[in-house]
Amino acid sequence: MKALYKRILWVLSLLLIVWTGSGCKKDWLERLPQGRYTEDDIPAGSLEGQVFAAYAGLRQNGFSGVAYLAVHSIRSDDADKGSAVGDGVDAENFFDNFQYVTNFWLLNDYWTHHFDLIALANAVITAADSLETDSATAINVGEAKFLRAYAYFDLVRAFGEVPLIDFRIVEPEDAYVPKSSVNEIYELIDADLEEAVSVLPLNWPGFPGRITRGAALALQAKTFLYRDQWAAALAAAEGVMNTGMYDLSLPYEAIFREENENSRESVFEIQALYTQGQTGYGINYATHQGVRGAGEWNLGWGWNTPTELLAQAFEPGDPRKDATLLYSGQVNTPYGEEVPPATANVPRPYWNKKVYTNPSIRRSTGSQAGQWFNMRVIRYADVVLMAAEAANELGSTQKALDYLEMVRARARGSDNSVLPPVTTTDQVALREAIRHERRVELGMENERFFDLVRWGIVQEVMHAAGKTGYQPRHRYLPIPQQEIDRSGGIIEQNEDY
Amino acid sequence: MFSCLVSLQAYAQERTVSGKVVGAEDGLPIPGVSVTVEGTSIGTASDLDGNYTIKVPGNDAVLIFSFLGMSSVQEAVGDRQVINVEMQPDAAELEEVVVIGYGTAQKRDLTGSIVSIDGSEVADKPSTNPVSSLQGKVAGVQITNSGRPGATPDIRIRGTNNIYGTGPLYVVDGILNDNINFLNPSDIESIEVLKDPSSLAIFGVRGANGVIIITTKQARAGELNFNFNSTVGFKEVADPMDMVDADGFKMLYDEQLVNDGAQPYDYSNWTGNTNWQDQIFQRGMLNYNNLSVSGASEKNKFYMGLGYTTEQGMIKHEKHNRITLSLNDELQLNDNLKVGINFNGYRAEMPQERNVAAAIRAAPIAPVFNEEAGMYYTLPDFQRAQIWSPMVDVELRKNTYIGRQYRAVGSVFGEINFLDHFTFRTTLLADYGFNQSRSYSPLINVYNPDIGGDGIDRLVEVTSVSQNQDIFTKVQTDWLLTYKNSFNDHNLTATAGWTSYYNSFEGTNGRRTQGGGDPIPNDPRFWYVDIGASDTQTGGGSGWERATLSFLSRVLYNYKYKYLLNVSYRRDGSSGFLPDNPDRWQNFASVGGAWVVSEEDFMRSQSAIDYLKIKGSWGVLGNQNTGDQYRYPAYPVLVTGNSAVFGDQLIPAYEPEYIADPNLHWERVYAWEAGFELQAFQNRLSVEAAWYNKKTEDIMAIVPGSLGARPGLSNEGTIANKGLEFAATWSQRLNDDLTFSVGGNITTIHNEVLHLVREGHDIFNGISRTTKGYPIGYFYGFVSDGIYQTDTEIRQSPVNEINEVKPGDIKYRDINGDGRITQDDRTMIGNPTPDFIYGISLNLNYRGFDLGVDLTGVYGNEIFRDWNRGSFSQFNFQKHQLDRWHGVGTSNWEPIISSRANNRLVSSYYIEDGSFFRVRNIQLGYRFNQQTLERLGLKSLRIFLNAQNPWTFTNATGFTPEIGGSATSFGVDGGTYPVPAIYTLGVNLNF
Repeated sequence: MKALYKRILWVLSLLLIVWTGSGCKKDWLERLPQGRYTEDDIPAGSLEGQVFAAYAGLRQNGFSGVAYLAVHSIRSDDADKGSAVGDGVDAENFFDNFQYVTNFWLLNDYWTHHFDLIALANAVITAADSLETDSATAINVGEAKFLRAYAYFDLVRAFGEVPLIDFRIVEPEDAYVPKSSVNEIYELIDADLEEAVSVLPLNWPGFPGRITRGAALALQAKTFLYRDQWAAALAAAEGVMNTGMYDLSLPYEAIFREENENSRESVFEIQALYTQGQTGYGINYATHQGVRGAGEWNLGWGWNTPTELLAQAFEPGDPRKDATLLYSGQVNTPYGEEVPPATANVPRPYWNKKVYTNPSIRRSTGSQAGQWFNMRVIRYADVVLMAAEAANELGSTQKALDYLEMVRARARGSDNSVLPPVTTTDQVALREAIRHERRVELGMENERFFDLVRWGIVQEVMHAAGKTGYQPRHRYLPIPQQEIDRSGGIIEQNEDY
Repeated sequence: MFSCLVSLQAYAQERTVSGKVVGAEDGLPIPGVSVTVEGTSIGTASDLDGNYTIKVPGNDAVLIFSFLGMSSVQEAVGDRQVINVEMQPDAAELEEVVVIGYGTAQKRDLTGSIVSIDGSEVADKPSTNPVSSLQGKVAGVQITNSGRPGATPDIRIRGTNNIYGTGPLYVVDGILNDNINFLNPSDIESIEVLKDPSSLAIFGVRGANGVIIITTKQARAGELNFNFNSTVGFKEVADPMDMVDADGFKMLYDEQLVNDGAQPYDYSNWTGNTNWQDQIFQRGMLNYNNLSVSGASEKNKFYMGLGYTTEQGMIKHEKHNRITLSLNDELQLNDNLKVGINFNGYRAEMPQERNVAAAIRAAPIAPVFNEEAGMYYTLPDFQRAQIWSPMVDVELRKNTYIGRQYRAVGSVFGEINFLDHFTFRTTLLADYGFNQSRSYSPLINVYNPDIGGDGIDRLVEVTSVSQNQDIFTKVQTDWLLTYKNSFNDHNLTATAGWTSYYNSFEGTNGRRTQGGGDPIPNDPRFWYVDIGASDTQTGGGSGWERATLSFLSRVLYNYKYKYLLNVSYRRDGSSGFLPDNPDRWQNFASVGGAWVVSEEDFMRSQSAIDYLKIKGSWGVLGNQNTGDQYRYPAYPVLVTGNSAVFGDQLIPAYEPEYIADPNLHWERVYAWEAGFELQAFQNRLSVEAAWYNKKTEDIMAIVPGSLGARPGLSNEGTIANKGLEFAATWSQRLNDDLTFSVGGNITTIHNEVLHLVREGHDIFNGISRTTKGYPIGYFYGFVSDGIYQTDTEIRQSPVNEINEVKPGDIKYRDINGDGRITQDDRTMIGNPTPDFIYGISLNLNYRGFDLGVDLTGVYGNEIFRDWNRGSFSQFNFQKHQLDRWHGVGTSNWEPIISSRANNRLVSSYYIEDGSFFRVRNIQLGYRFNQQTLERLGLKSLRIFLNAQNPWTFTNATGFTPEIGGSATSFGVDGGTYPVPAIYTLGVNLNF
């Protein structure tokens, strides 16, 4: 027995030594996150990393998918909900018949995705406060401020009064602030864009599609235009033109083809990447508007289809008509494919040709849904037309005519028998001509509805288009009920609802 | 004179009776059995051979045989000279030893509520998870089972106490664990369910939700024993859902198109009449086998069990099989020293999980297969973009997943007794789990009659393969010192020690697609991530770890076994919190007291009550679960997932994953209970009842992101659960051949959120809502007041400001009475927590036959039917929709068939009654008698027939009314996998 005890004693002492040596670490409870960075680890220069995360926010549906289309395009006289008759009837009631409800998924998505982008931008801007200001940091802040202004510009047009979040949300309760007035929101937009214009570079070698000074100026011009501040709008638009980075050299029908992404015409474009090996970085812009057919013609949901009114708005022989409308039941340029005819269940004679994808890319990616298709948000032609509109309102008629002619000339191409130059010097007539040009140049590019609102003619145009449900209060959407619920009532509903 | 006669008579009949007392189970003699004549003071005891001799006054005397731990036996003497008796072990042993946290104790010394279940009750049941078989058997424990093979049940003990991790802690042979997939029910000796604060506080930060302790079998003293069990049977869907057939669908869909103002549909290509449920369901076979060997000598105890189970699911091609091994050995080195090893391992092949949602949504007008084209049909165009034919998943994607799980759970221990009263035990425990899977995504081509030509619709044109590996590690050490002593009627057991726990996870995955090359073949030997185009390769990985360190102590004290006191204390530190957070270390404690009234002198004169204990306890418990997404809740973690795209380049980006709260601390549950335990009428009746009250404070909950805010974990609020548990059993031996017992239990649950951050703050999870003053996860929406029958009725009713309404639409109630129907007219429309749950069991033993019937039920909860509420596609119709409104007076509940948004709002129209009553299990067995066994050379042989879930009575329309979920969203039916009826035949034998 003694021998046994001796043996046991040895074993125990050895165990004790092993235990004290290895098991009882003072830092047993120090466990840092595995495989993750924390904010304390951020390597220097990572502010740029956070800016890139903000760009990713543009790939959500609220900016580049059906939610955006519903708010900006479907409501107009140029487009309808589209798709099959029984599909999305509640969306049709909301956006075509103006039966707004406060709890609707497209409304919720639009709101949520816009505020997500604002939060990502605020993360950058707040983080920059604690770093040394050098030019790289300033540029990153400029990019973030552009994105914040872009999101708020959409929100102020869509909802009117919304909460103004220009800080980083640390405690969840910080997010619940009451709405600010339209003027206050525009103040933030103006300040943000001023700063962006002052720091952003003219171009980004190696980063096609990254935000440039031209993009900031173009957005600035638009925000001034929406408030009828013609002089400021003209100055900003001409600022873009003076950068020398953009032109109208691309033929119209070539703009919306995949090989011409990020071209000399592109001022601000939401980027998408989709290949067989990378399927997580696409956008739904083309998917949600793709031809709703069967088999190889199942290109997408088929929403946001052009109306007959848009088809008839084009002047005779205007080549832009064939570049804007994809015709059901006939062969279409440029790929020579025959789109199936409209059916009783899917009675759509036209589809949005500005998202018509290249069949060879459909084959090589193994996807028919066009997730690789970039969304052209602001084109140079838009900038030129903004300059024309502003110039006309200020009385600089000749300038307005010159700018208008730049756009028409490009559309005309080599065929001088169509699209005669506009020569009228009457401000009212020229205004009509410029508005018409905006409609046919930027058809199905999500400008129409808010253009009608700012011109003050939305109700008559809607009623004439058969969208008789429109009432003046419908220019602003209701705030999503779930946000009001979550804020515990701090955010109040729009008075009209 | 009279007394003379009596005594003369008595004297005349007084005689001697003798006999032998043996144990009923093993036939061995029992010495020391007390033999008394009822109503007199005549008594004796059985000798070493079990023999006894006693004088009885007459033929009408009654002999009472009693022995501690055995049921008392009464025998009327009659004219017998020799009376032999068999004694059964007591139904309610007072000497019963139960496993409690960090040790064992006699049940009579405890002030808490612990339910002990013998392993044999779960061994013969057709379920691979032993705890599933406890449904309805334990008061206070609500078990929601899933029908999937290999699935784990949703278990809530005494209500839903918190938001992350509502399930209890499992302790398997000492190791703390959160899942017990690796256990074979046949290897289980006993299961203890710990429910009350005085038993749970010693588990500190893991004890709040209750603890289920599982002890695997060890060898019993005696000779070598082999045990073999085998069960074979089948399972099938007992209650298919009532959907319309093709004619019904066409009628309703045509009506819908008219109501929506749309063109009629052309059915010429869609002439099928398919019952999709019949297409996907099968009768699944199951077979469980287990062989174990155990042997024990004075110094050594050895047990080994080997099991093999194979089971099919109810959807075609779902299969699951496992091999389990259980091994333990204990060696007594000398009188004071003991060492031992325990090991449980398993290897399982996991099923490829399938869902039923497509089968209940797909239209019956679509045929299944097109012979000419040799392909399955797609669905009609009104649903094919969003729903694929159920055959795509079940047939075209069958056998494209190979998943294996390996688990090794083991411990080694050493125990030393010294100085007569001390015991020191040290244990090292580890759990290593390894899951790997390989899967393949095939080409999917279906036949589409709406396309011309060959009609081939290519749904998936690119094949891909993925590989996945996950490793889970847990290491635990326990160092416990126990002191046990009795002096002067004081009995004391004290335990103190410390324990460390380490838990980690590491996972990697990879994927490749075919790229520009040929499709990857549908053959498992190619499913590795070096097949496919290397430029399409993606991969990922992650890991996390957590450690805790704890000090624990407990004192069990009683005075004369009459007055009991249990006190425990534990201090836990966790790595999940930041070092400078003072709440990193937290204390948990409990105190419990009991009074064994039956031991008091004033109780001795009555004979009805054999045992009565009145008990109560109070304690503070903790919960450390933060869910998979938030392993490091206090650290501001960045995610490098969402990259930016410029042209064709991908640039990685960082964004915060969630908001980290540096002041985050563990939740604390303040709980108390009061109750009693009673045994009466010669231990034939046993009753346990308790009133429980638990309040969880500083609940960790996600504050959902609003206005771009990331969600984050914070200590948000307070939840209370309280109710009554009551369990009673009556068992009686009617005569030599027949015994029966009847038992039941009922538990009431009242759940209320007392406080949530601030007034008006809510947590939304889907359609479920959690808010102050209401039960957790309740359903919030409109109340349906019927259907608008006419336009006049619409005009006369409160104005619906949310949607335009027409006759046939649901009329919602104006809750706030303002004359308008707005978002403010929403209210509580259902509660997914039941009012009470109950179970009843009946057991009958007649000669060699035994019959057991278990019934279980749930009452007072609601289910929300969500699978057909969405508007993203057209679905099939349920039979009850045939009662729809299609004219004035045709219906006042079922609305018009249309796409209108008004009828899809969250309202009481989608609420179903979740109460159900189920015949849970019926088992009929036969035990062969001694003679037959001797001829066969066996020690025991039993065959049995078992039926599980044969009948369920419910008003819910889904496959099953049992729908689990998370803490803030449960009871929502999104297409729940059916719970099967299982019929099996089995045998168990010992040799």
